[in-house]
Amino acid sequence: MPDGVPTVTVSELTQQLQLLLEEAFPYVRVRGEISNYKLHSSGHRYFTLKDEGAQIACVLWRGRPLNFEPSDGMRVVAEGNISVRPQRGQYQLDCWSLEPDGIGSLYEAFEQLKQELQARGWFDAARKRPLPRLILRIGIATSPTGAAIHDMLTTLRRRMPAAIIYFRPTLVQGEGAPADIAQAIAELNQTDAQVLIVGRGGGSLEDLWAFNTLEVAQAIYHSRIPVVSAVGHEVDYTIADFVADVRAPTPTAAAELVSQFGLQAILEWLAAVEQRLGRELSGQLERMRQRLESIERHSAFRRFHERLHLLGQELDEFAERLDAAIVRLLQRAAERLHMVELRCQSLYPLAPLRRGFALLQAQGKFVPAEQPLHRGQQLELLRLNDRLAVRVLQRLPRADSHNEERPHVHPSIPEQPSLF
Amino acid sequence: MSTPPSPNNLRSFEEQMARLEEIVALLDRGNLPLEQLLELYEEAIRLIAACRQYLENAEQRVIAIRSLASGEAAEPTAED
Repeated sequence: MPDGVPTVTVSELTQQLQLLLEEAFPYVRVRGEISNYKLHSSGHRYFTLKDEGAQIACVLWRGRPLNFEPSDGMRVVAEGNISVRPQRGQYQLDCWSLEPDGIGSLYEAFEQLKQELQARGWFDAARKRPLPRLILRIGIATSPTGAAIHDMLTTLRRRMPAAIIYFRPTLVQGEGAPADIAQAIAELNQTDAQVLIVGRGGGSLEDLWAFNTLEVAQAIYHSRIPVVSAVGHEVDYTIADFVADVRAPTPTAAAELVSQFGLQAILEWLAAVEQRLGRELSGQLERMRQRLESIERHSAFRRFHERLHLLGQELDEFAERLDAAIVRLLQRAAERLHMVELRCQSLYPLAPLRRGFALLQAQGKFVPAEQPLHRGQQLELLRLNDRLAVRVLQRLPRADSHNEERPHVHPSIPEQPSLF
Repeated sequence: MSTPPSPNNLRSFEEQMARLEEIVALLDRGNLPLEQLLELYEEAIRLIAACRQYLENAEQRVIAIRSLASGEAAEPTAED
């Protein structure tokens, strides 16, 4: 044994190795394929990274970010530091993060999680909730700086300005994205939003990766409020799309989807309801009219009508007879009246004046027939239309055989007795 | 967002729309007595006018939900 080489204990040597390795490799990026992958009940993940010529033990402590579910055979890039486990005489890679290596691996991770969640029934059509027809409160989880939020707000402003939007600015890519998206969904579930839109604009498969994580899938699955996923472009399908109640091909499409019964549609609906009410009302009136008519047409009513008609006829005839009787009565009354009138006229003292007789008066008073008149006496002569002052000139003998001194009217002349 | 619709207005708009849906369902059921139909007609015409007015005056309101988590969560991320 050469001199000058101190003898050390295993612990001392291991301690030196530990110092050496850990100082030499504080940060490494290692590419390799996963094998012996094991998710311990403690939440820590143990596996081996290997390639054709070597392997290294790896650990990913619980709580370290992971955007996908690793599995054996997956090619990954691990970031971390080398650590030594003195008790077991082993070194290992303490992983800080793990990323699928290349599109192929991402696709494998995607397929794997998809199959697992499908097996759990998370994609079942039966558990997809329909969106309410009238949506006035919308929760949105997306980046505050991307085009997605701008597109959605613009679309909603145009199509449904009456809606209130709860916007939760959300990290949608990078390490913290899955946790923040899940957190955003949970927070929006505390609002009275009727529907949540979760998504982001287009990007590379890696950019969209957060929406392919179990964490986001779980948050969507447990959301009390129906979720519309709106990730990337039309061709992009993510796990979030499968778990969501409704998948929208793009954020703008999601905004259109939740505003289907929007301003224009509601105004049209209101007009249709208005028209419908008018139609119902006039239809009802028409139906009632038809019912009345059919009742009228009913045979019993028809006979009733016929009877009414006959009655009416009788009534008409009776009325005619009544009319005739009244006319006759009136005529008779009129005739009688006329006769009375004639008689009255014949009794009236001035009536004979019409026939040319004159009435003799003295100082405005009638002169009785017995009163003698003497020569030169002033008298007034009353005719039909005038009154004359006259004087007695001479007594004349009367043409008839009566007393010449006292002229009087012959009783055979009908007018005379009725004169006074 | 100059004159945002107050939550109360939004609620009453929702209620008015819901009542209109109810009335339409009643119409669908049919056989309504004329008197009830007249009452529904008058009610619906009032509701329709109120809904129209609300929609005409409505303006978009965006309420920002602040992240409860640490500042990192609220930090904006560029996309596209």
